[in-house]
Amino acid sequence: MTSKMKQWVALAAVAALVLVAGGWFLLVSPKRADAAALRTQVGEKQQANQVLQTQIAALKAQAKDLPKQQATLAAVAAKIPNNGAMPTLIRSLNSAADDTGVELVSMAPTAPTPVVAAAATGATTAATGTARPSGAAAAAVGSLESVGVTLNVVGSYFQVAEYLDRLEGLARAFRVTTFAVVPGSNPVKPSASQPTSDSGKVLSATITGLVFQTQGGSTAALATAK
Amino acid sequence: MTVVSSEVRLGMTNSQLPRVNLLPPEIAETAMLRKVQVSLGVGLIATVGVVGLLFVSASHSASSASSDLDRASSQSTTLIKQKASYANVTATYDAAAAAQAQLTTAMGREVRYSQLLHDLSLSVPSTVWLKSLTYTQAAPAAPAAGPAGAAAAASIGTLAVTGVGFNHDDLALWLESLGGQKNYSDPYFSASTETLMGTRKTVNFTSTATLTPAALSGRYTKPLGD
Repeated sequence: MTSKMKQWVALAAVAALVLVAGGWFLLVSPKRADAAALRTQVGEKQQANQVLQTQIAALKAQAKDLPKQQATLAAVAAKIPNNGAMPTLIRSLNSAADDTGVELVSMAPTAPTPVVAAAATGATTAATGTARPSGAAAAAVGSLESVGVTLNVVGSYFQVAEYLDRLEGLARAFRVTTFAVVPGSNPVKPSASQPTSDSGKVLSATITGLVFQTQGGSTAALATAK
Repeated sequence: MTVVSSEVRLGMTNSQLPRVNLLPPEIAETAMLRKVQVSLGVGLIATVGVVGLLFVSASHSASSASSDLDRASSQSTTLIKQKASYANVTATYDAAAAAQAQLTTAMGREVRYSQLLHDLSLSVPSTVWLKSLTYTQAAPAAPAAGPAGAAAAASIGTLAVTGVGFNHDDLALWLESLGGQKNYSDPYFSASTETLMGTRKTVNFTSTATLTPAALSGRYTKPLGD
């Protein structure tokens, strides 16, 4: 082989190398990188779509149970209204007294105060110490407040016990915290028409309890949403 | 007559014929160089072709991945819209859970005093009369470590009773009666004093007992409707 031929072969080999290297690094490799990146994105997207599909399937299943959840919301809203609802409470307490035969002598509420969460609830924030659920649900249900109510009723032992039973069964949640009975007399009945307090037939009961309300919440829209 | 070729007559084959190359070496070399150049050119073109094929393949792969990504993105958009249409389901479930938690916070420590009174009326010894009784429910305390914490956990309130018996043994009977009920523990008395009721000797006593967690109704610690 002549030296001229060797030069041509060497030149061609270099040119081929340059072509291959240039083509690979400037054209093929970037395109392959693009394709790999796109395939990674496709994989991530498909994975996200699978998660979404699973979530939608779960939501579809949950949607079938929606009426039950709405019933729960409505039941809790009846137990804990989103306002004082004092007229309803007064009527309920008085109606229970009429039904059981006790004399509802007096009732006195206190101002609403935020409820300090008990350890068992698990839906509280430590910073405020109030029973406030976290997340978007907080806006729907609002913060819990309690209103102290002190009642004085007069009646027999069993009438008082029956009245307590009615309080425990009110549509609105009423939690008795202190209960005291002593011999007494009905202050709105003539003394001649009732037994003496020493007989123990008439008892004066002081019932201290709590009713609850939420502040700033409204679950009505959710309770009826389709 | 047999025809015999001159080669046979000379006793020689074709291969044994002497060959004489009359082409000048410069021209042969130029022809060889031309061949090599053509071969190298073809090789270079083939190299360009291979690089081109690789580029087309990578481009196709990228384009295919891009189409897949578009499809996945489009599916993702559809799924996100579909999921958003169930937003009220999530909100209702969250609100129901939060409302249920609030109800548990509010009423989790409910004691049905009407039932305690009923049980008490059945368990009072026949020789004992109750004059007054006071149930006081303690506010929930943060759990403390050690025996003090255990004692606090075993007590949710107190019962204080004043009563009358015929003698001191009746007070003992009363304390045994209280101690035998799961709702009370640690029955104790602070005073037992003999006195005259009319012409009969009686004993006035003051007693206390601890309300145990068994007295909690538990009605609100499980979801409503269960």
